[in-house]
Amino acid sequence: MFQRTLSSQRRFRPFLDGVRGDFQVAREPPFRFRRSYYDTFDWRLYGEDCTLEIDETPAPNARLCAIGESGLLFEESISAAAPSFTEFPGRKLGPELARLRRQRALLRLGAVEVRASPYEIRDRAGKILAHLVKEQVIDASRGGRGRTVATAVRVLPLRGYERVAKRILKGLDDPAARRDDGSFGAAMRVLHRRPGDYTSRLRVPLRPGQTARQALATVLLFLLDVVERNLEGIEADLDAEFLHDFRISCRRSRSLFTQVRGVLPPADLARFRDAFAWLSTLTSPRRDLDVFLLVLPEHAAGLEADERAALEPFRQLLEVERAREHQRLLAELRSERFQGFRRDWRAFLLASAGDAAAEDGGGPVKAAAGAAIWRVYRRLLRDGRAAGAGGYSEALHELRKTSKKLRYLLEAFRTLYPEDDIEAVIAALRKLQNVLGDIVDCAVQQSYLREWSAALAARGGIPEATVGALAVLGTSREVAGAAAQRKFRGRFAAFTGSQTSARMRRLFGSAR
Amino acid sequence: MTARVLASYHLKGGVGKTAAAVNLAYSAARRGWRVLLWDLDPQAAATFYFRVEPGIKGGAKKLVAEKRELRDFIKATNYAGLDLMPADFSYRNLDLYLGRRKKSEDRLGRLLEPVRGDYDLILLDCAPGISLVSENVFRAADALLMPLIPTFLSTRAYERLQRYFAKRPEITAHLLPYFSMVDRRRNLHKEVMEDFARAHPELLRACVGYASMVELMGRFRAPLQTYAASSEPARAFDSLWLEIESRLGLDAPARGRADIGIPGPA
Repeated sequence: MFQRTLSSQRRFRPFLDGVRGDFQVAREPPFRFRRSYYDTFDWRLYGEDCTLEIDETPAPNARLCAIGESGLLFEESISAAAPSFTEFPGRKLGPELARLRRQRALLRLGAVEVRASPYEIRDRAGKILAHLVKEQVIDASRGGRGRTVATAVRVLPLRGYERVAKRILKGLDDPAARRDDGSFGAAMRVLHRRPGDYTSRLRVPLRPGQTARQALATVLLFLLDVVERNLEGIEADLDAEFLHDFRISCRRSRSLFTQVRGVLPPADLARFRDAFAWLSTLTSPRRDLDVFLLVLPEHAAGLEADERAALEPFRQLLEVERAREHQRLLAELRSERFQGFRRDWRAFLLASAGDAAAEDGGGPVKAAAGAAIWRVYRRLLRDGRAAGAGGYSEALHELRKTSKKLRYLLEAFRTLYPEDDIEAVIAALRKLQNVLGDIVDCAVQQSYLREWSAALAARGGIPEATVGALAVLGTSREVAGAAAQRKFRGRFAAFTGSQTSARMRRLFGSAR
Repeated sequence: MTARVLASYHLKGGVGKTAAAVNLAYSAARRGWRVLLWDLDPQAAATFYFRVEPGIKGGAKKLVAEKRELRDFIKATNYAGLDLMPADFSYRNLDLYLGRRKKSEDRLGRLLEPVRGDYDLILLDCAPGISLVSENVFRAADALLMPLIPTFLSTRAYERLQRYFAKRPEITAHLLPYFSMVDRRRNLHKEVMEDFARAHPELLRACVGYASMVELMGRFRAPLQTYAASSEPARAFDSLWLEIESRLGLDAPARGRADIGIPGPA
């Protein structure tokens, strides 16, 4: 499928007259339908230049389209549209969407009315060469027949006649419209949605002229927005990433105001530090269970089929525990304590970010950020040397925490520094963090498996095979942990190597 | 699912092979099968009926040499779920090109292999005769659909083929004969059909009568069901297809419009 958006409805008639010069054009009966659009909460499809639409007709068609030249990627019939999909149906679409959405649920962004006027394009022998459809996106919010807000042309080529479809659309080619999204953009405007309006990625535009207090408060306000925007998804339990983004933002916030010292009033910070510690404790049990349930199929894939089947009672136990923890979490998030924290934290940050605070702002932001980054970097080097060969230990756990602190700082203040250098440092750090994450996760998972195994045994009535399969799973985690440990020294050496060190000195050396 | 391969075949010409291939392909597509019809006859009659230009770039020679792939030449027809591999005049030399290749009798099956995943059913419309091409068809097909005019010569040709198959255990294709161009007013037709049915339980019960409506396919350049849906031969081809499905134990796939490329709502 190829599509072009018309700058005005009036362009369609001359365009069709042009097509008639080369082909026979037969008009088919027009029809109206609702088209719904889907994406993840953080716009992962749109981020990959894709859109997912479902024509809500008696036999719904789901269509994954590429924004720009390539048009349709996959189209498939599905049984019904739904408010959200944690798994998308379809032989072709399901796996492709799983790759794009990466464990996130697909949420219905909304639906618009579409008026379609189809035409058959034939040659002189009467052979159909393509189907052409004029689509008008209707804003029906004001009642009546609605108002056309965009007109797009879609050409559906037939196998063996793809060149004809391109030739038909040539009359509409516009170099300025390379990223033509058909009716998607117009539909989003009708639905008052702004594609890409949410990301948990920490890239806040800062100015070197800002004071440290203003800049830090700006970053922390962004993180508070992330926390708040994820609440609805946590409440509805749409997917595990809502809570993950919530937790990461809390952890980033606490780490940042702790590491960038002497910038925010210490008396207030002590209070908020406690609140963030409370939120971390509050959300940990459900997050741990989320992670285990997400990785269980992947980890179990290495087991024999009968061992995998024997894990089912264990998986069910995790589901029950997760449901309980979820309810406990919701009760806390609805509590006055949490609502009060949100109010107080926002008021505190707004006061800190305002111009009134500029006088006593902890000095220029670059100096404060540079000093914090350099200090944590030096600590990471020390912790890394103390971590030895990479076996799971208290020292390695500390190293992982320090690496997170450094990453949060680098990301929070990245817009103040030359992009190439800072992004290269972040990329190198990410590689080190991946291996640290693997080592710690494997150790933590082994410990959980032992605990759950004991809990299952204590409950009684659990098949021997399940206990056995958990032991095999524990061994497989041990093997995976050992493999990650072997990579540790290499990754650490790469991070402390001359290239990253030189970059760190270039970026933050003046803050020493 | 990988496509089942059926061939519309007879040693004799003018027995209704192409009309059957076109109309059965259409019936199957309407039942939700994704169908590819390969017009193997250099006369290109099936290609003509579907209003497609005959000819493939590089001809049969390059195709058989696997320098070009079948999928490069497949064309959609005017009917959803029904594609056509057009005929080419060079198919007259197909025997020659196949003969030059190693394992020459399995070549056609090999050419079909890459597109078998794209379709539920591949229907081969064969040229008359018995040759290396037919040998390839026998080995690639799951079943041969054989239109028989109710005459002694036609049924005798079928029985010769049946004996030939009996001596060739490597050919596993079912033989599915059915009567075509039947004139019920003629006693001879009735007698031949009754005798044949007694001797051949594999005979499909649906039969296609002689009708000028079938000949009009050349004028309409379309399957019979599209311009004379309620005619006796159109209904006969639909019944024939249902009987073939049942005889081969095939279940019609449940498909939505998008899966077979129909634009717009139901």
